[in-house]
Amino acid sequence: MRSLRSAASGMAAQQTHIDTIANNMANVSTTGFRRSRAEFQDLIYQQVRTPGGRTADGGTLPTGVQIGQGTRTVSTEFMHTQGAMQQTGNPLDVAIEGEGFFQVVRPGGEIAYTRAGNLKLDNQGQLVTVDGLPIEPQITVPQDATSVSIAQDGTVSVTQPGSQQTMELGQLQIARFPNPGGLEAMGRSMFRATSASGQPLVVQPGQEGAGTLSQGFLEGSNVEVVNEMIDLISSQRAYEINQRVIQASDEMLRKSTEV
Amino acid sequence: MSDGIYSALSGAIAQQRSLDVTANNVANVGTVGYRADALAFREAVSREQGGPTPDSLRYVTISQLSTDETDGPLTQTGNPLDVALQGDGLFAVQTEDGVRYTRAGSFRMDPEGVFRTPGGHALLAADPADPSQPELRVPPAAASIQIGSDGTVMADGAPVGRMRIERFGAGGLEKQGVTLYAPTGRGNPEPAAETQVLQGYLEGANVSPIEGMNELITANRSFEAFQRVIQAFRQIDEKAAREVGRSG
Repeated sequence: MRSLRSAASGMAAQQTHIDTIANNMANVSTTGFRRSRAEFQDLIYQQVRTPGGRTADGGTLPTGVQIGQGTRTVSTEFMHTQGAMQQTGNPLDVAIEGEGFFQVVRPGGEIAYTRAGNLKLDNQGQLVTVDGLPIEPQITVPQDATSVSIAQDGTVSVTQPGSQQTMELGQLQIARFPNPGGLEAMGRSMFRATSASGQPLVVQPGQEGAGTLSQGFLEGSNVEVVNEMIDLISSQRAYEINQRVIQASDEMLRKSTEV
Repeated sequence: MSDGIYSALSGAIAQQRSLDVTANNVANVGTVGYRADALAFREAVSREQGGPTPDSLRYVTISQLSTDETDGPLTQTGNPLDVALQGDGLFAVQTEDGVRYTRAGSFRMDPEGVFRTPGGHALLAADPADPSQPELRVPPAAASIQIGSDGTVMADGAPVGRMRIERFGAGGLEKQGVTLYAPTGRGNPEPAAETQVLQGYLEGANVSPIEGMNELITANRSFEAFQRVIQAFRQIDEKAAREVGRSG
């Protein structure tokens, strides 16, 4: 019976959907988290009767009969919409308003991309992520700096004791992708470029479509709890209906054996 | 042996087919752009020499499978590359087998700026400037993409092309799976001028869970009824074999 397998594929799809929702919900307060969305497709149809075939009484069939065989997960895609901005007042919290990612140097030299701008200073005074990975281009804040300011265009400057002048240390840059949905998640709020995402375009904040920086803000996750709850409820109900189809198929099979 | 048992058997098989269709519909309740199927049945009369007589065997057979063409529910996603259609048009996409059609408008942009379906098929442009590049192309570095209600795509405010959205007459398309429709060759596509394009929305499956449950129960109970009829015929045959044998 095809219906058993179709319904099982539907249950599997809804399970994937709920797994995705669960991960989104779990990360509702993760800085720079990007929610993902599962997408589904119907499967290849089985031709029970081909259109144009001959009927028993010599005519041709105007339409065919094709019976579907269920569904499958085609992709889970990261949704790169803006997350909510939270004011923190911390001078090393930097949020990107608009498109783009910070570049992070992983051990081994690989570049990863993140939206999580809760930066820290390491013991050398270098700007690092919360995991201690340096930001590219690398910027080192002198030990005696009394204040750090990060401008909208990414310019990092400090004031030092005994000086009225601010000193520019460098400029943070932003990487943009033609298809951010094609980035591969590495965990720890980091993404890796793939052939689907395309090559990064590294620009100054605010230029060529890249977002600008806001100091003292953090970008929350872009998960909206209400939407996830609605998805959860509808997914759970869809799971139940598929389960009922399995029960109905089972009942039919049982009746068949009683004949 | 009574012929009626075959009529009842054909009915039971029909209900099983009906459940197969319902199962596929509810399995795809979360598939963007999916359209529900429904089976229609008809009476068939077995043909003997000299045409059907009142004693001819009558049974039920599938007359056709029809697809519900009403629009599915819209969900707002806010994603600029999610596009829903309202009306009878479909997006034309390029596949290995030629041009196919889909209602699933959850596109993503590839590194060359081509709109692709989750399955990787490129969205075609209406009246492309260069016929060797029929895909709709957007500058990959574009910061904002706006899609007008007629399918015109603007990148950073400048129009870059229009989505190829076409409609077919009745019977012009058949389902191919993976949310694609293939032209059947009956009737030609024409531009769907009255179809509205909505950016930031997705069209869900037009499967109604309540109707699905209803079909499920109907199929199940009808199957049960046919099974009872088959049993009744068996009892009659059994009785006939025993008692007619005794009187003879």
